[in-house]
Amino acid sequence: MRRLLCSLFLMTGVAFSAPAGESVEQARQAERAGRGMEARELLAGAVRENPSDPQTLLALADFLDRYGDPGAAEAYRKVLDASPSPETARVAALRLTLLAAESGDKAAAREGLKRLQAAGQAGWSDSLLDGAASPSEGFGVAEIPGIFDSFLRMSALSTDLEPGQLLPALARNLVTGGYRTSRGGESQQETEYLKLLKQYLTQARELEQFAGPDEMLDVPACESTETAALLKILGYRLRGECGPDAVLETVNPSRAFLSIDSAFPLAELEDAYRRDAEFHHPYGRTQLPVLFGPEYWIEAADAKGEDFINVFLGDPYLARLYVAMSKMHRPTAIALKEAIPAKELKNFANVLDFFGETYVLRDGKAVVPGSDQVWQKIIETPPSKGVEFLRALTETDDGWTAAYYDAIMRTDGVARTYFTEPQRLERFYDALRGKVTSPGPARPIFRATADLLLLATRLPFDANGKPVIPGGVAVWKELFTQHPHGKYDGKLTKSAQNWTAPDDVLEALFAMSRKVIENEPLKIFLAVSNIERQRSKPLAEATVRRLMLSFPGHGDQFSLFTETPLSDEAIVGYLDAIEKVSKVSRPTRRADSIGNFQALTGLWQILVRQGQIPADRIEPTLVRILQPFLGIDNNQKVFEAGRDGVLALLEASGSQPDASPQDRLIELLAGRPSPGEEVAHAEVSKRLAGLFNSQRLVSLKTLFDLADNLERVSRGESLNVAMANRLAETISEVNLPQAQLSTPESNAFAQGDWVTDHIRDQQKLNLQRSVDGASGNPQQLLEIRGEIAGVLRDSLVGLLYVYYSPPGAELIRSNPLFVRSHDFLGSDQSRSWEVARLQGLGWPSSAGGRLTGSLIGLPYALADSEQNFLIPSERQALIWQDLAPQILIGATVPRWWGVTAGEMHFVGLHVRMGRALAAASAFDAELAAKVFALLGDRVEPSRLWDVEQAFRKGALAEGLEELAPAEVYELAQLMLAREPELADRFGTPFAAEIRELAQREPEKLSYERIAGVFGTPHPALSESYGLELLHLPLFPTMMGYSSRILAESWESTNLYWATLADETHLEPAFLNLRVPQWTQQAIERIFATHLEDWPALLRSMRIVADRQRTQSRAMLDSAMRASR
Amino acid sequence: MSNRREFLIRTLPAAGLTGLASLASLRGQSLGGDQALFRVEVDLVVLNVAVTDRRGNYVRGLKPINFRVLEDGISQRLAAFGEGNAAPVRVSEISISGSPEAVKDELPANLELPVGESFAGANVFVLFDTSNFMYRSFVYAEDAIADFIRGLDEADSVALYGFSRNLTRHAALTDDRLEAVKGLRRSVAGDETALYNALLLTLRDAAKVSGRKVVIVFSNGPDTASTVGPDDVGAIAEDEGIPIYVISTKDLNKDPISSNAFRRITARTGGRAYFAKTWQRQSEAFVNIREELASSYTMAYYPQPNPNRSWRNIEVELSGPELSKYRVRTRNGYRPKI
Repeated sequence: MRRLLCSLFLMTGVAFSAPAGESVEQARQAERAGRGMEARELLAGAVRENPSDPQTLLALADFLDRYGDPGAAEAYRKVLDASPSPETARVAALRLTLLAAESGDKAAAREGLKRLQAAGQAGWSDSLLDGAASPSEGFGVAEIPGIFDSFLRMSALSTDLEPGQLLPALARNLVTGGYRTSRGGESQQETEYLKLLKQYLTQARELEQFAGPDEMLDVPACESTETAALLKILGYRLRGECGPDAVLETVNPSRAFLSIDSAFPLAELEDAYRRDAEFHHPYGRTQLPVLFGPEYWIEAADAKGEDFINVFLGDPYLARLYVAMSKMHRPTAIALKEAIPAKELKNFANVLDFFGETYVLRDGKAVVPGSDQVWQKIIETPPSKGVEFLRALTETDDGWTAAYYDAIMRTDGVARTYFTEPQRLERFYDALRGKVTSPGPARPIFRATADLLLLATRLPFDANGKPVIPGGVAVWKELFTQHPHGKYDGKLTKSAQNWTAPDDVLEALFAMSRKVIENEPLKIFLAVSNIERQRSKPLAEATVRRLMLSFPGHGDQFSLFTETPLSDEAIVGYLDAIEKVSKVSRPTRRADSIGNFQALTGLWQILVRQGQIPADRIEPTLVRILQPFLGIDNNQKVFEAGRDGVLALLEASGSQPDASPQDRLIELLAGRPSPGEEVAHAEVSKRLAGLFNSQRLVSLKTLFDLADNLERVSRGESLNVAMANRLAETISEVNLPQAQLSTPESNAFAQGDWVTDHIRDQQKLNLQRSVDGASGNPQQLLEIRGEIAGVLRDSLVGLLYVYYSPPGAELIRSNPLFVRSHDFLGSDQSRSWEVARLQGLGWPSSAGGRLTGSLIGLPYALADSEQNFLIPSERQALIWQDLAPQILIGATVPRWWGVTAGEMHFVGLHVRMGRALAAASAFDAELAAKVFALLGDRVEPSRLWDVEQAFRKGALAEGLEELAPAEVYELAQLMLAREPELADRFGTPFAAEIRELAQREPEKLSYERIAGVFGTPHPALSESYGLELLHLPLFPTMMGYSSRILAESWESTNLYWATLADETHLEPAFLNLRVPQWTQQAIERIFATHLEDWPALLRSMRIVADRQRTQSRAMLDSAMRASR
Repeated sequence: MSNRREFLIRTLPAAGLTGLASLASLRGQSLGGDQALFRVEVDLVVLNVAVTDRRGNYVRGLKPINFRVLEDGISQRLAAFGEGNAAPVRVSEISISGSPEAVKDELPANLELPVGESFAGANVFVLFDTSNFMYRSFVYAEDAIADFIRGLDEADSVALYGFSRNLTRHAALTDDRLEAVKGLRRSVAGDETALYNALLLTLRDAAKVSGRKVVIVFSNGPDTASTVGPDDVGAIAEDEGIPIYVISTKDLNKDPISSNAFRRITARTGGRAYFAKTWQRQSEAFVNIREELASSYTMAYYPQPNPNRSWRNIEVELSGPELSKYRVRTRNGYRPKI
């Protein structure tokens, strides 16, 4: 930004006097050189000089539009006022219409349409804009006592919700947290949550009665009968005389709790008493839209009653049906409701809840993936029978047919073609179904596993549309027949002997996908497939076999091969090294060896990812790092292996031989800046160095100098006491907390024996004593270097911790033992190669915070540790426990050095074009057919229907809110490729600009490259921290670890930030500083109601973006004023 | 170090009564033309000191001359001094006979000190446990906290924070009591208890505020969700010079783990732990804290040269035999910022 402004100041005054065409060209040049602000000002200057030249005006309007500037609509209006040519008028009017419609400004949209019609555009009618936005069809109204916000609070729902969103969200809360099963499992008991909600409704009814028909709580004076009556309902009494001494005091804690929890304005009431003033507070009933009307649900309830909310709260199965129906494609839900009695539907509410989201009826027929005949065969009802088909789909095989249908419906392209081949579709279903269908897949509250969905959506295919079976069928046959890790399935063991084709393997994987227990074959298959996916040369059969054998113990390490394709030899060499180092006998030495090994390979991975190791040195460097770890038998070798590894990394990255290893590694980790990015780079380096120091870790330079000195000591020199003291001084500040703990705390304190030993060993370190003890024996003197192996481990591990530290980094800043406490063994010495995990929560079992396991998965583990330090901006808004870490790593793993303004602009253009096309589809039937067909591959039917409905009502802004940035980005991409004429016609001025950019910089501006820059890591889905855009549909909520998959299917965050940065003309290098901040702020502002509440995240991101826009516009305006 | 000294104010916000504010950097500049600079941090150390008699009554009316401050055994010269909520003043301006050695010769006139009316009163951060452990006593706790807020000295400001798994800022630092009570009354019951995480974040906020500050924690104890331990949090409070007071709603022996942790972090920061199960005892604890705020002394000094770059021990003694019967409570020490 600063650089842009400087250049702006330098050029102003020169350009404005140039002819309009020349200025426009100069602006174009400036824009192409990444100086967007300069271009903007040049164009503004040209317009000031030539205020009635339509082409100059259009150039400015197009520019503003392409960058999402809010001044674009007004600029187009000026173009239209300047008597432009018919084509210019058409373009300007089109954009004016769409921009107005996108922002919800119906009056301006009408004006644009008039001008568009005047410019010759036929068929676009403004009657669309007359539609009423609400209420939707199919809804009735129910009343609940009290204020809407209070009910939301008591229901643990976001107060951002609209009334129409309340019941689905409440129903979801009732299903997941309203009831618990009794001890005998025979009945469902209400939880405290539901009890409180019911108690609140009772209190609300009393307050409503007190308020009377005018719906106002009136207390005329402190000394009044109303005071006593109101306080009794609220659970308080007045202490002290009316006037300044009056204080509210709890008298009935249960009622008082409800008053506080529902946000009754107690402080204001108390203040009125203290001022002896009147108190008035509106208090009436709240009207809620109810899907199908309240009567439908009252009739379907188990317990009879007339009050809708009472009935609704009293029947968890009814609530589940409400959840299912409200997220189903609405016309389909209505058809089901009309054809099947609610009491009958309730019996299958769980299946509809999980899988009904993909049900679609079109023209009375059920939409199915693949052939109608096969589906008819599977469930004995033809899809043409519409509702009857869906009923059968839901009821057949305890829900397995519905699960299968749902999984296949979520595929597209090659995968859809493959899975829906008639014979295969039936065969794989038979495998999934098995002989006994119970238990069904919809038994739990959340989906138990993601296996079936993963198999359907992540199966790799070759160029001919054939599935890729890594290593060939034979090796998978071996896995099932010889089952080296234990028998998977007797029947499959038998059938595997006859396998010859890929379908045989996949059939077995479908069969395994129904198992609730660990599905190891599928996990191996996906892990190895993920490695294979990134390679140009397939893995050899022997390598696949080795990977299979290694999977149970070392499978988490495979992500290293997924992110960076390695030769088969290197993969096997890495696995050999793991095995060797795992055999180091003494636990503390093993922990140090593993720590050094993993830290070095982690650093190597970062430098490769950042392009700091040349391609031809990537693998040799890894091999050189691994080599010394193959023969560890003493601590000196542990230290030497660590030091050699650092030297290998420094050499490979082109470092000067005399460079300080500490400073150079920090510099490397901070990233590879391009010219002009030095300021941002220095900021990043400073942060890394500061965090490293806050852990009181010892500089690599100190350690290596000391080691050199010890080597010289073995040749007769004396110990450099100053250096040894410096080391001792740093370590002396590291104190184990046990000394301060009481016995009960000490007993519960769970730091782990190996960690304690590791830290104690460092505290005992006394090099002078060791040198004296060696009595001049050269070999013994040399071995003293082994005493600092553990210190070196911490420094290397610390570099990785600080590199991946989330914004805030409170744990690193506040717990000086955090890095040193990393437990590489685990209490049973079996965790060394598993992904890192946060160990223990709460004091003292957390031991003040520590991670266990390997350094694989460190970014996620650190984000997970840090998320509870985020401060929600809304009361009651709990941070998304499962999703926040994934969103955080989207900001902590990527680095944006050498990114061009063109790349950011490329993303911004796509997002804006996608929105423009979607908005235009509301007016144009031909375009709508194409747009909704493409969106249909990604957006679930119910949401797509909501978008369509909003568009039909002319509520374009509302409809566009439903679409995620990644979805509109992909829409633009696909339209450009598949419907270029429509893309040009309705995607102006974006389409032409995208083409020009892509032509000018084909390498930088390919979709693959953009995915690698502004995508997100998918450690669970792809087993890699490399950035990708997978363009998968948003996954549903699943249990436990699987919920990470849901989070990874959200790929919009960095695309959104890139669009924002493009709009505000941020220098790309500053993304490295801003994106972590923006992401943290966005998470802190999320007020979500449930895990799939993506609109809440989008709302939050928009708030952050608005603030950023305001700041940067204010800054730029002021710079502009100064420059004129 | 160069024979030419120049004190530079580094940051305006730090010019307040920050506990351990890197208020000024001492920049030495060589007289030659090579512009070689070297920097020595000069940390303003601020102490909150409570003096009590054997019965626990606060001793008021003491003057700078009555105190002797030692850092690692090195006697320090006080630069500023204040009692209770009165505005601290430069010690050199205190006109009493036998005042300590004048500091005006030692400290340049342009060096900002945390003195004057804007530094009167304390910034009180109340951290309220709204986790499910507090469910039963939630409403009574709110009453007690509301009373405390209303009873604070006019010069004090108060912030009201709540926590369960995450921290929530219910009311930002304000001198408007009604605003703070409104914030309190808006709090809602949460789930898990991440007390030490929340305390750390509260300290971070408090550290950004100029002037004297304290944190008061109102909790029933067990921490189920923190990833940081009490001693690390205590160390930060100690370094920042922020006393922590804890009112535990559990009996001392009911939860020995929390009780011990509370005692440790309060003692090392110069605060106090109260174990008050009943509403009456909780109210008494609040009264006591309020009294301590009104009766304790604020002292600030720039450390004398000390090669120790790690933990520095602080001792505050009372001068004179007639004062030796009193007890002095303050933080144990601090780590200088490097």
